[in-house]
Amino acid sequence: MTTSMPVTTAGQPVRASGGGLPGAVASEWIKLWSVRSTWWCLLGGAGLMLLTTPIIGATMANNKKEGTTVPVGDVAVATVYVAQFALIALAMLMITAEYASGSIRTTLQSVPMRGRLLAAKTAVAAAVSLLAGVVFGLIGVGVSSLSLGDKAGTAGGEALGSALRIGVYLALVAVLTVAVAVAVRSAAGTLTIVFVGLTVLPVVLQASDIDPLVALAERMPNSAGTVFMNADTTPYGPGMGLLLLVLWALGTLAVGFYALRKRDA
Amino acid sequence: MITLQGLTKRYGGQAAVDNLSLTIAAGRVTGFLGPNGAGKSTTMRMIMGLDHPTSGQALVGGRPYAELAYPLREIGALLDAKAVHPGRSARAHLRALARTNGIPVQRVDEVLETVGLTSVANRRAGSYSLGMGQRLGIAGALLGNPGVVMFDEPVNGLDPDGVRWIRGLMRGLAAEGRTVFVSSHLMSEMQLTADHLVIIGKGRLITETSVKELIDSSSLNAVRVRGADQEGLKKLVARLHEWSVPVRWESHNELYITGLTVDRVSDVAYELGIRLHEVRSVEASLEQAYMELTADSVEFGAASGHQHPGAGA
Repeated sequence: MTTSMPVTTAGQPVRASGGGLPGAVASEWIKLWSVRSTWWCLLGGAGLMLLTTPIIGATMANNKKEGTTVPVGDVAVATVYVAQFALIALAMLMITAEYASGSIRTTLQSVPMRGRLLAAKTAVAAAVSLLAGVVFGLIGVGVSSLSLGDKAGTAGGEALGSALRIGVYLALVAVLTVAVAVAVRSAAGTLTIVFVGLTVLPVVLQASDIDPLVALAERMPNSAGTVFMNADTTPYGPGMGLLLLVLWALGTLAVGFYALRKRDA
Repeated sequence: MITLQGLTKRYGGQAAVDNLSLTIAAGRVTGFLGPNGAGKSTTMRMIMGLDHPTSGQALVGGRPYAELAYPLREIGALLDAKAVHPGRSARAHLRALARTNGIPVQRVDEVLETVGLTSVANRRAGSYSLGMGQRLGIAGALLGNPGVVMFDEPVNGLDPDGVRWIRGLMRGLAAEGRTVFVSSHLMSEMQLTADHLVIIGKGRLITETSVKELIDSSSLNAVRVRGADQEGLKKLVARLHEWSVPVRWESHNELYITGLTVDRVSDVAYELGIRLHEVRSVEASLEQAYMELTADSVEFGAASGHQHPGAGA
């Protein structure tokens, strides 16, 4: 690589448009699809759905009385609690990989407005997770109707509705993950907080048998997500479940934004 | 143009950058020098809006970085060569950067050509050598065709060809009328590249001067005298002592005389009838002048021997 020749640096004047929030979103989009980890996360999530759906479906069918069917949407929802970690990893890496490599400083130089940057990352993570989540949901309902055979409960548009709600749930979990990652910066910290918050803490609180703690557990993202995705009616309706999920995501996002703005990069 | 107004950054009680006020003008290369921990990188990060000043402000073209609508078109910086995702190609990295500031995508190929990375533009940045990473960082800095460029230790880890290339690049950018602000530890490199110098120590401005002025001001500019006639040399020393001219024995047959010209020293020797084998002026290097100036502000200094002119020259 010999470049001792005279250097010309002047280019054409750059056009005085573009950039802004759409530019920041486009940039995040390019960044997301130009690393292999994104593809591994998506393939891994789809693979997990494919492999675990028949197992979880069989378990649920065994627990049912003879002659009753298992709604395939419920099987898909139960499987998503495993596969969601693929999309959590995807959303997390959009932030933590930048902190690990130091490229966050390049990113903040190009988009110095912290709010714009966080909005762009959140939008891209949510959009990709929404679409991937719907696909995961469809895999879940499709595979479980095949594997359950005559035990599969495939009532009309129910299954499709489940797939859509799974997409929405995973989009909001992605937002939550981005928010936690921005606040703590490291992959290990983010994964620990999200894993404990989504799966461990609600179980511990539930087991405590102390009323306010049980009530809290019922309103955490995991339970709210179950109520929303399964369209349950207890302890509250699916609308309330969605509202709780949105509040958790936005609340955490506010914490992440505060940390990002206050902190030196 | 970069303007610092009372720029201060404190960590806990300690000031990393302490009330720094200066203007870095366009059309020349300004070297930013100081010992490790003097606050150079912190200053540069505050200019780029990465760190928040405790007080004071850093302005680029008259505005704080965060207020620039298209910052990459105003100022480009190479702060950390490895600040790229190792799994992403150089081209994708630059395309993503271009989109944030509305920079046309063909500019990506232009800067890749400028830094000589065209042939490896689609390779993962993690596979790049340090020098290639440095070039990619510079490509990012030039992407928006900015009027101000800032480089933090740009020649670190580069081969001689790369060092020469960066030198030419910086001179070229300044000749085009841009503001070029560059920090370095390599004094010999700064001596060749910089026109103007900003020297800080312990976060404070030590001096702002031109390279020539700094070297001229060094006490290490001296006249070196060598001869086999030891008795004669002793007579010369005695005479110089009478005049309070600083003189130092370098070895049993070598003297360093400060404050007199070669002509004057030769005349005095002639008057005293001393036979000499060598009389020549020794100019301090930028490094020596710099060491002299910053001796008091080295934060993590090691005990070292006496610095004398000609050492390592």
